[in-house]
Amino acid sequence: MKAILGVLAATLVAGAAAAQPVKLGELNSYKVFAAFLEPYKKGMELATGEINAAGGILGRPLEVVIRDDGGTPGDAVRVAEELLTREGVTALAGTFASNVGLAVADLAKQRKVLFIAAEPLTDKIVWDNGNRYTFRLRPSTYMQTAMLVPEAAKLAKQRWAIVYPNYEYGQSATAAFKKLLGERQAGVQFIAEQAPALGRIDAGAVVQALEEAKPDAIFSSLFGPDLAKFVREGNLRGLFKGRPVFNLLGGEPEYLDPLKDETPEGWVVTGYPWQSIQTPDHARFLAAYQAKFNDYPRLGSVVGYAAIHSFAAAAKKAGSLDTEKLVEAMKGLTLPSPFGPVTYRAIDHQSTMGAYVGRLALKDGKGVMVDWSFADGAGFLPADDVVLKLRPKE
Amino acid sequence: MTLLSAAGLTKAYGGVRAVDGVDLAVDAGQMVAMIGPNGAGKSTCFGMIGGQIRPDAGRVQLDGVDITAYLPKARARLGLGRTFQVAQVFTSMSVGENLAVATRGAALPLLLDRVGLAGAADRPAAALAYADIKRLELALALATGPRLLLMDEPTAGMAPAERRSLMTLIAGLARDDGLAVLFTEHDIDVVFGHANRILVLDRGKLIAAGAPAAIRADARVRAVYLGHGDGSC
Amino acid sequence: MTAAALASYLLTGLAGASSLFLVAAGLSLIFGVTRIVNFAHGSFFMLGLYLAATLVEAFGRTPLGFWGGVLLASAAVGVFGTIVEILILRRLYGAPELLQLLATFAVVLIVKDAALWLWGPEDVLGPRAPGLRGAVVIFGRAVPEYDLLLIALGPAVLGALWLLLARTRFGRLVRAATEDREMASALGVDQARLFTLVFALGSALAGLGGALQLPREPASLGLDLAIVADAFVVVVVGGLGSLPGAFLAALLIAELKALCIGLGVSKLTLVIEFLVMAIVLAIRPHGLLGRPEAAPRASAVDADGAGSTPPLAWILLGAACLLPLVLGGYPLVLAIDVLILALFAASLRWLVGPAGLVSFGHAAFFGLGAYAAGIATVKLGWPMAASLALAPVAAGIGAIAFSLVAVRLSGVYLAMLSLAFAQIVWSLAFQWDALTGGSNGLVGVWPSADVSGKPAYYLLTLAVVALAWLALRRFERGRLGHAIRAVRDSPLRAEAVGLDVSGLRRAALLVSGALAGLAGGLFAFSKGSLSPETLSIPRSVDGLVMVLLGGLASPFGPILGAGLFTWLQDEAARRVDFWRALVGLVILALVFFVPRGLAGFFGTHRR
Ligand SMILES: Nc1ncnc2c1ncn2[C@@H]1O[C@H](COP(=O)(O)OP(=O)(O)OP(=O)(O)O)[C@@H](O)[C@H]1O
Ligand SMILES: [Mg+2]
Repeated sequence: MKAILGVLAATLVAGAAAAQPVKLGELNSYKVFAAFLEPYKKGMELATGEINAAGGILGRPLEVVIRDDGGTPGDAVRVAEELLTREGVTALAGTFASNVGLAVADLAKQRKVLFIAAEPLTDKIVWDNGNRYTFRLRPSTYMQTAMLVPEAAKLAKQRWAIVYPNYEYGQSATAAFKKLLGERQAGVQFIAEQAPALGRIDAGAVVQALEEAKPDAIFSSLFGPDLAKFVREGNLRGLFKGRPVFNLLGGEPEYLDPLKDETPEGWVVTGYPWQSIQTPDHARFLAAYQAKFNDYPRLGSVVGYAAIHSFAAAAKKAGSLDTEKLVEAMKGLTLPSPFGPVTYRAIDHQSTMGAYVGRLALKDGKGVMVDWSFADGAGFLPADDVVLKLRPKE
Repeated sequence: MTLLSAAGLTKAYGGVRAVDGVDLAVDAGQMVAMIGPNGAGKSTCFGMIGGQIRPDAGRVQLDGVDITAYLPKARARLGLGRTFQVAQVFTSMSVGENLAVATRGAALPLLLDRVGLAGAADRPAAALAYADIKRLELALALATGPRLLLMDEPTAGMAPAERRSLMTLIAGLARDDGLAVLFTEHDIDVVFGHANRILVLDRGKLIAAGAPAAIRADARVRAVYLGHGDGSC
Repeated sequence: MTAAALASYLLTGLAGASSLFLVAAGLSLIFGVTRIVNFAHGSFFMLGLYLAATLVEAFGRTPLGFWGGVLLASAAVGVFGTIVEILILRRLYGAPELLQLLATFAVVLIVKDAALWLWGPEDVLGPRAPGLRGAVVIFGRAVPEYDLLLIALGPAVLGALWLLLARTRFGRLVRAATEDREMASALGVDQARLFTLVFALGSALAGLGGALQLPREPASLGLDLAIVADAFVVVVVGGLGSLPGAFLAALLIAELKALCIGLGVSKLTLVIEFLVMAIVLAIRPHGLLGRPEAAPRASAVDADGAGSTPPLAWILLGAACLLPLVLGGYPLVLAIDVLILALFAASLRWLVGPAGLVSFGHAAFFGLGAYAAGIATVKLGWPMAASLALAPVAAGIGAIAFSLVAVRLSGVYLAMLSLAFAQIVWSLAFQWDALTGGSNGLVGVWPSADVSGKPAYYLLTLAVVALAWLALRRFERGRLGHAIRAVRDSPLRAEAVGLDVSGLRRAALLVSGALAGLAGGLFAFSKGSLSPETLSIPRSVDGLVMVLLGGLASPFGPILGAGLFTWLQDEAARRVDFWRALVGLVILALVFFVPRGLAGFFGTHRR
């Protein structure tokens, strides 16, 4: 693979007549959230290759300078400073955890540099703490929760139990779910809430507590090891029998694949059914990804891929690498992605990237998403006047 | 004049009564030895007088003040100084720094000279021989200007000549400054050579007390020592 | 809650207690005999789980395959532990105890990256136990069969260990060594062999604990530190070296957790074990069934050179002032980090070295300072100078609060209480959204306009850190500093000469906490943001690593340690994929070849 890259780079350099590369600084918690971010890195690599094969950015090759941000805001800010000052990058991209994303976003505001927050889900990064220089690619916690709510409302279940990891993401998901479902369905009750610490769920007791509450349905925003433990205990203790379960992010290959033959069938999830998406955009991406890496893409691959293309598209639109021009170009920028066209809204810098909503099923001993539909992010955001109120004035 | 008096001192560890109803008194200017076989309860007694060990029962008075509930630091301020069976000094400091911590501007050279450490002020405590560490500890105990000095086996680990000179020094302090001294000692020659009074402890109980001559003649004391067959005691 | 529900929660708690006990038992044994605070214990657990997942898949999901895999995984971890002991720890028994801790921390870093390399980033969910895949109905509720097995296994392992300790020669030696090390070595015990055996047994137990979790949780890379923190808590609450104590503690903690969840206060599980530890230590300074620690072996702790600040220091300071003229951009950013961490490390070195109070939770004070500055700036709109001044005050208040309980403790118990304190403060910061911003933390803590440029902020940091460092040095060598060191050298003697031991310890904590808080305040302004991570265990550990790399003996140690650590992390993370392992290897190399720390190496102090 290195060799291929080398050849690629060589041809590119020749093509671009040894022009100075355009540097994009990318920082992420590669060690802490390795399961998501290794495919993410591959997605970025694929996009970089494509961009350079097509002549680079403004006639110069693109170089993505990748750094591990250590998973803490303090280290991330230092790494971002390094990218800005030593590497002289044009813009920043990346980050995973909410707190890291918010810290880097604030640095971007302070240093007046474009930051494409690829992955952090926190609503705050574009709303409460939104700023001129920060744009976010992935559909936020609020949006993905909103995508599940119509399905949830259809069931007309009265008594809901909720389980979520006790930090920003789980808290926001829970708040959004309660608010949105409450608005759609009069008289809905949230009768039990469990908030285990991230990565430390006491699954037996949590499942039992949910069972004791005798809910009609369950909303969960667990992921990773917590989700696996919850599924196992829940199956054993019969929690899911006859109860619809909604699980945010549960269909993302990163979290679904480890469940293997224990995938809970019938759960309604947001995710990425890469096996069965037939659109030309996705087919092209899938073929290129598999050809390059001999592996299938995870959601992270799509996010990394689209993040790099976002930067390239912005530079192309701006016709310049000047930060202010890039920022103006990002506003309302539309670009194709494996999930179809994506627009960065001018009003709050949130992209309209969507997600797939479907049911989990078992196929050949593996978890897959079935009966899915694509939820376009544009349709799951609050009204503009609400957004304007949430976001500080510039 | 009675400086230290203790009544009914008792301490038990689990089922073992390490010290069992001990009464004692020490006058100013007097040197009192507490003897007894290993494990008799001497160090435990000292601990209760010095404040390191909280007695189960009994009272301790220093110069008429009931100090039973006092912390060691308060006892020190009332004029109680002590040394420990395993010498306790500040090992990371020089001899001079050790004394500087313990005193408030007392004359250092004089103190060092007295205990036989003249000229050693700059030596690191960690580099001292054990006998010198004991001397340093004594200097530390004296540095606070005590009226009562407790010494738990002050001459252990010293050569016979060193023992004699050290005890002579202490005897001088008792005589000249009116210091009251209570000490334990396994060396019988030291005990009978320097003590004005002797207390004999066995299995936590005081079995005899009196002048050296009387103790030497006491049948029970002989029995205890012969019974334990420990000639060195 | 009905009685049946309650009983059922308690049953779930029992299974959790067994799991906890299994990990803690090995740690307790190892600590009891070798006095090593083994940070790598959680890594052994994690290895056991990963290995079991691989082996059971390889052997097939039959009963023989499953149990064979579990036992083999445990044995393999035992062998790995033995290798660690022989190759690394055996060479360090004579060294200061903290150095061993540093070495085990290096092992954590290396094992973590090795596991990533071997098993990849995705969680590995093992199979369920054949024959125990179902649930039975007890108290009208489904209870997993495997839980019942675990409930039986905990006491069974406790019983087996008790028999081993009570009935065998090995057991007698272990008990002798646990109760009195010097005595045991005087009795002619072959210490090296005993230690190796105990380490092998302890790590095999950790591996078993991990392997037995196979049907309950996926193997994942974050397990190591989470598990080792749990295990520490159990061992300390139970009383160091006491297996029945560990069992009791595991029971107490697991049941309380289950009840928190049952009562709908699941958010408390974040901190409940640390609350339990703090309360137990406040009431029983040696844990539930522990005995007072034998007096720590008299380690020849170095005195600081008595001379005045060497001219070199002044030259360096002068050079540091000129740095912005030469260096721009990133090196200046790094230099600011180094200065702040040097102050943090210096405050910790003062506490661990001269004051003799080991802290595993020093981040509490750093974070308190950072949060005080952050809250004052963002929520109260204070000017920067006032916010920065508040940082040491808030941290100092925290230090005094901590010292109320802490002055009664010493050694590992004190270190663990500091850990509990830090975790409690952490959980407050984590939960108190309105004040602290919760898990997101606070953003927008930027310095005022006149020092917002990097060179200006660098000079400000340099000035504050240099002044604080000089003040600390003066303090350390002044009357009070000597008295505090005297208390460390011999509390008995210190009290006997009339020193106020508790008061001096409190003063030592106050000074250290306030300076760490000042570092935290500078940190918040240098990053523009802060989050609960400033209070977290890894930050405390980083502090210890810097202090030990630099060397305890010299006040220059923390500066060198912070410099090396920052540079190492920065360079390694940029150049090497498996940078954590590389950092681990470098730490090991330093432990072996520069055991007195860099300051000792460069000989900036006498001896
Ligand atoms: N902390 C303790 N815990 C349990 N038992 C103790 C403790 N301290 C002392 N003992 C026991 O109390 C008894 C008295 O001990 P102590 O040290 O007072 O004797 P001693 O007369 O000073 O002996 P030696 O001449 O050997 O110094 C002994 O049986 C000892 O084992
Ligand atoms: Mg004694």
